[in-house]
Amino acid sequence: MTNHAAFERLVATGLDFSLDTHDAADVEEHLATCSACRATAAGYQADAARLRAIAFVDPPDRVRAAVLGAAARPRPGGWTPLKLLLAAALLLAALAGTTVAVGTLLRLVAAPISPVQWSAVPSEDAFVQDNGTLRLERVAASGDRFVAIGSGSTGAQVVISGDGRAWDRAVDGGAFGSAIVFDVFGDGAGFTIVGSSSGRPTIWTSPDGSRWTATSLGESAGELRSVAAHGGLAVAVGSQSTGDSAGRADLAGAAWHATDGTWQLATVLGATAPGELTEVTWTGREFLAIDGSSVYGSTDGAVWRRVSTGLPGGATRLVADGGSILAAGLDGGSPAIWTSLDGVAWSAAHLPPGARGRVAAVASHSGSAVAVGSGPSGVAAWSSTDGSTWLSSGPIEDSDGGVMLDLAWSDNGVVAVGSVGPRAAVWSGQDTSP
Amino acid sequence: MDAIKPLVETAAVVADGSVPAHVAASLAVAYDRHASAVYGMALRSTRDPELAADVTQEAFLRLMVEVQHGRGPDNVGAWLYRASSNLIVSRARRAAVARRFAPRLLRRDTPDQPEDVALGNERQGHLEYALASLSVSDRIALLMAAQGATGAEIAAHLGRSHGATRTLLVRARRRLRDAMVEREARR
Repeated sequence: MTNHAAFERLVATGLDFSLDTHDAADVEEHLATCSACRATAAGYQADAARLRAIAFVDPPDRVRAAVLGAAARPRPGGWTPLKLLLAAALLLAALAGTTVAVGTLLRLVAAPISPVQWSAVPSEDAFVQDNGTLRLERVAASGDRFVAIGSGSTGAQVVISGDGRAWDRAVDGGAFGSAIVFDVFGDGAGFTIVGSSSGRPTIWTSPDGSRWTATSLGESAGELRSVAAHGGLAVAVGSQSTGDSAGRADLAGAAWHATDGTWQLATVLGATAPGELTEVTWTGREFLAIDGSSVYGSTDGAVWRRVSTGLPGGATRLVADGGSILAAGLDGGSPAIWTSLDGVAWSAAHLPPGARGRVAAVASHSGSAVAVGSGPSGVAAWSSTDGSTWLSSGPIEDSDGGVMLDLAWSDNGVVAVGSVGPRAAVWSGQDTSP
Repeated sequence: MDAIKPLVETAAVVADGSVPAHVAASLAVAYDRHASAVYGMALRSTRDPELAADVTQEAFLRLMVEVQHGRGPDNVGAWLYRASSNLIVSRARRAAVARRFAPRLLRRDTPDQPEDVALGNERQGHLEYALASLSVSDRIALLMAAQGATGAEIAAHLGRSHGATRTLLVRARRRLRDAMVEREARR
């Protein structure tokens, strides 16, 4: 006698756990002949699909503002009970909906001519990861190729493209296993990805973005957050354990350098523990790295010294192109960019006031700078001709609730990467600068 | 007022120390990466947007406090699942008590989420009703699975054995299916 209830249980189990080959074969055989159980199985699968469709929801923007506002650096004098009450009152006002239409105002003052017009690239299979979340966090170009990297709920993802519109997974995607990847860098020699594998700082290199070779930097726990290269000298920054414990409390900012593919640990003077160096770039004169509160400089990659504590908190990205150095991030829950000529003295750039969100990345090309990130309703982009005064690029279609996290120019054009909801997203930019 | 109190409590903890910039920056990254999963799970388990916003906010503020004290979790996603599901269970209990004294909140039990309207999918509405008929732990397990967590990960986050989680998930899926069949039959 057939036990339909037992098959139903196996069908339900198979949605979350792998069945052994015997059970799987039994189920398949039974479903082939029993229409009632086939209908039940279809019902289970439909329920799972509907659950997936409603599982991810972006929270209201005020939640982000409240969380990041609390995380913003405390003002001089710190929090007082009065300020706490004021914060609670402001939150109450926000909950009551007494907000002004900032977005409308921003659109009115949007740049009349934006150097890049963004449009969403149709979603590709490469942007979805096993029904989980996936976002593309960094993108780099080498020649006529783009490599974008991301983190999904089931591990690292590396995708490549020639034109910025059609994307494929890297042939060697398996080389990343359960690694965490943080940054990708591209130059004439190819691509470099940094991150951590099995809790150890790791570098992956590839001449074409397709096939990758992994190198682990030592036995100590740690991770690499950013990589840059200039004139045959490559540097990577991140953190490394200072003790025996595996906890994050003893991780301190660390840097490595390589001239011939052999990586060596650098000396970082003034780095504090716990801490980590989060970003590095070549300024034209030296390498600069940041750890969130300090700026470190090095000309040879081997010895780093603290050159400034003047970079305001919230800076997460650092770029330079000839003249000025730009840092981007957020300040008190609002998008922010700072500029410096030497990495020592920093001044805040002017962005449209009142906006919530953050600047995730900045890049300059053909004399104008473009910044991307998130705003009150989703993806946001800004542009500037001098790095000091920035204008909103206006709304970008099909990007509500999304965020752009990085951008890069190749010989073929410019792309931005990020996510919309649980899916990775790519935007293609049309360069309209003269 | 219930939604305001937890923020002030957490902010008071934060006020005892400064928030280093790298903590703020990593919190922003963690928020962008996990907020839609945390809020999605909270919203779909509680069906209360205010409660879900409150849970999401507090989960991230607690994460900030952990990071600030050098206790940042190795797996932020797993930590957030654990923290938010604990908050959902305790808040849902508190909200159930509050509702007895505030009947107008029952209005929230109608499936009028804008995203449902946008989907135009009647069955999606059925699913929300059916989900609401399950226990909170059943809902959390199903939503974690829908967000891509494996059976083993769900077991770890719920603090249950692999076998117990397997039984819980199979039963939850069957209860959901039964509730769906019942709702669809009523149409």
